Amino acid sequence: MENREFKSGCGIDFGTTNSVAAIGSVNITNPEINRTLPLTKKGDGLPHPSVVWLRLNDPPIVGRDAKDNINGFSEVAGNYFVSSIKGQLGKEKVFHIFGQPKTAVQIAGEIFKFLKIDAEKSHSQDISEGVVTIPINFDGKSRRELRKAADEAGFYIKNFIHEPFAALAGFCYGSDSKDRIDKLEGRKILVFDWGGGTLDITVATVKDGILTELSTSGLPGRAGDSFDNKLLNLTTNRFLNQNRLSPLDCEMAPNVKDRYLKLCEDSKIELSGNEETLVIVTNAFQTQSQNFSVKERVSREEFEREINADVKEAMKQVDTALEHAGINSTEIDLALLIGGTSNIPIIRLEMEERFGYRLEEVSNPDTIIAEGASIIDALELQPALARSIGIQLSDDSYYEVFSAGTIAKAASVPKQINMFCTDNRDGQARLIIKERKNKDSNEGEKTLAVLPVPVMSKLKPHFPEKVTVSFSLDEDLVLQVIGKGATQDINSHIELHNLCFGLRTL
Amino acid sequence: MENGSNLNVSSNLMLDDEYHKPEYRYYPGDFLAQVHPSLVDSRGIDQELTRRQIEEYTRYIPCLICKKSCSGTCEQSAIK
Repeated sequence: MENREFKSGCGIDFGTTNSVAAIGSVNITNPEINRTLPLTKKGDGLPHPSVVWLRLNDPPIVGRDAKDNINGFSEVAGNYFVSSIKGQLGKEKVFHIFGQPKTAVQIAGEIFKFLKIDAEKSHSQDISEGVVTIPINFDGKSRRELRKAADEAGFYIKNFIHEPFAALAGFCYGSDSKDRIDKLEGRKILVFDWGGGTLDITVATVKDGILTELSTSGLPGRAGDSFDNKLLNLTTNRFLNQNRLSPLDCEMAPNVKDRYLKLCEDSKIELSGNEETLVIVTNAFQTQSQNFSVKERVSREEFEREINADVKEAMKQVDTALEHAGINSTEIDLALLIGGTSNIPIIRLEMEERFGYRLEEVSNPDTIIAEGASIIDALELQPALARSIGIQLSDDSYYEVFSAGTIAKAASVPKQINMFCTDNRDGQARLIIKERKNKDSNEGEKTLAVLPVPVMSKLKPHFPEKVTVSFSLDEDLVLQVIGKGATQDINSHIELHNLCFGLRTL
Repeated sequence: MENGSNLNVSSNLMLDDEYHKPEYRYYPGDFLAQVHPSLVDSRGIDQELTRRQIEEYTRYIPCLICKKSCSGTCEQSAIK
């Protein structure tokens, strides 16, 4: 994707609630003039809902057209709606739809196919490879399944990048960001991204023009989708109580849940602007003789009470991210608030209380993640380890395996280390994997994992068993560590996905 | 101390390269006493063991007062 003047790249934000692709362009003669084009739905300029509508005798429909038809078709035979498929990746989930098995990977693949076709048809853009964004806690299995889903659509994932970090890249390098990266030199930035499926936080800095993560923190499963469920439970319980109905003899009508949740989501969004909302779900419940509709008023105050524990936990995650970065909230120079869930007034208020005037709203909150990923691809920025990764030795010294700044691709070839076990009493060698800012100082040192490696527990005469350890960073940016004792037949293996990265040129 | 615990996990692995070969100076002192008791003979202990190994070894010697491996932390030891 190049012309004489511009070099282009593609980014995809595969979200729990919404997904969007973007094209980033870098001017070769004047690299400061970057452009990003979000490939939103033609007409409304919004990202595409990550909803897949599977139909018995017709091809699947994805996006806004799928979401808008949940109300009309979710209870009609031959129709099946899948929302929030991202949350099912990494679990080898299989759905049984119309009597046929369909994997979560295949369903997620439909979203990638849709983004690809929409890019070609509506925007005349050919997207076949690029950078895809992921939540902080997206583990190795989830990343592999996401990669497979993209493969099914013929889209090659060049690199993954954390969602809030991509947003920061979009802020620093995207359209209208001239000189922004220079102005942020030495500054500390916090990105708070609370979307439909996860809360993701990155604390980052710019050092010598290189954008680097200082710490990350995340909260899976407590986000917009779970708030919709809370609203569903609140209105359901109230309806049952008011009508003196017991859940034993009054149950939710078959297939109504998708429609109910969609209406709860609409009400939740409404509560960000209004003090009150009305949740109306026709024929939501049934007894043996009668159908019932839910019609419940919910105030913002009531809703905020329901999500209060989640908001508190989110603020704890902010503290955790700051603590891991070794700074306090007053040292943050800029805080970016993105993601649909961040629009909830109580969350904005909490963030304003912490960061005051340093809290900045971006002009493109729905698309900044994809735009950031696209510009990373266009600039050919490569993820590089933000910290040194090493092993703690038996004399408490630190042995560096990968230095800070190592480009991920350079760490893809397994690095083998020969060791011996200094104490085999419990039949296990303990491989302590650590990270620190750099190898010469234990500043910011953190234990990433302890991998037990079986060895022979023979005491007399002591046998210092050889242990072979291998470290590599795979294409999904997951650190793979394997250990094996010389007398043992099995490998011990651990995957570590919670690493911080910077963005460097090759 | 990590994750709010005051327990530390120690590594029992050492590099096996040209600079580090399996030597008993890398073994924990209490373990060394089990596999090579002669090395902790009081006459040669200061020469044979590192300071850390001596600490590790003495940590598990039963206290003369409380008869447990108290490392000098028992009430009687403290009074003494």
